[in-house]
Amino acid sequence: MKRATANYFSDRGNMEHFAPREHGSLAAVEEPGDPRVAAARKRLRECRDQKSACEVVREIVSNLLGCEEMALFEVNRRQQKLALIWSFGVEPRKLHLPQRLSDSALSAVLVGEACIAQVCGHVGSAGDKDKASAFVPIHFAGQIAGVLALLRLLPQKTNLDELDRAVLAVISSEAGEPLFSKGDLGKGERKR
Amino acid sequence: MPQRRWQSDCIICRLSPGFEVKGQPVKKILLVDDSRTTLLMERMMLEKRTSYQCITATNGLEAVEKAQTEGPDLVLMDVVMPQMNGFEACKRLRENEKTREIPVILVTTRGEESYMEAGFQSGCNDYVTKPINGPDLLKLLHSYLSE
Repeated sequence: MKRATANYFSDRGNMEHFAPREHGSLAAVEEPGDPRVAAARKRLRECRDQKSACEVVREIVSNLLGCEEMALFEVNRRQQKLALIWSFGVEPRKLHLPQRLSDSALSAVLVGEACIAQVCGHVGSAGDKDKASAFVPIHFAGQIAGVLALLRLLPQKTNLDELDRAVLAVISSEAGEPLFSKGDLGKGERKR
Repeated sequence: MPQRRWQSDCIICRLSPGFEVKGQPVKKILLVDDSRTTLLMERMMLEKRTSYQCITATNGLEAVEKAQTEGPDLVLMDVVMPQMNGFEACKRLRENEKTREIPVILVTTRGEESYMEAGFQSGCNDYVTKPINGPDLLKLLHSYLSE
């Protein structure tokens, strides 16, 4: 199911609506036959720990999706907020994304729906500095354990299409285990 | 070598480098990228949709060495890599008599005009930006590799 709603990202940390966004389940858009999808899945399944998973997520988002600015958050339900655990291509201190779980911008993502901007931010375009192009839920142990935010796309990338959504679906379903299976972090071994 | 048509799902074809297609040797492509994800994706795409044989390298230095020993029909190479970048590797390929005629296509996330100029100055034949569009890339490869 897809539905149009509003974009809540601001360049000063205040909530404001400025572009329509699209929410939707990623499960239905997986295309196992596509080489990008197959390669992303294989690489994520090879990950043994959080560090290697972050590197593979970076490679997938950068090389297969055309976005070199990203941030990964852990969902902290006790404190009702998103906690930044890793970022690439952006200064973490300058990130102004919604972080309270009660934030309406996150409501759909926290029930497992991807949130993809219809008008994506681009590197080099004025006024798009902190604009997010997508929020992707990361599933682990039956719940949403994390959120991957994709910020500005590369100039040659105009939007995130159906095939891109299929790649995001793979990240959403496969990245959780190496990223959030706490017992394995830093030990180089991943339980299956 | 028997004159048989190459089939992607045939184990004999896959295990026989240089297997002939309609009497022609299989074309060999050297894929160069420091991202294992990109190499895997390119390899999957080419093995699924073409009969080209793929060999890989993870930096420019290794690419120059493999180009000399393996004699690929085309090099598909990333630009930003450790040890030796794609521009330098392309220059080295052009300087060597053994490799100077091999078509080189540079593939990179950097789409800026200055990068493209540097690419062509290094001697590349084409410059493609990531993310790769599968059908467009295959068309480009066929244009260089078809007889």
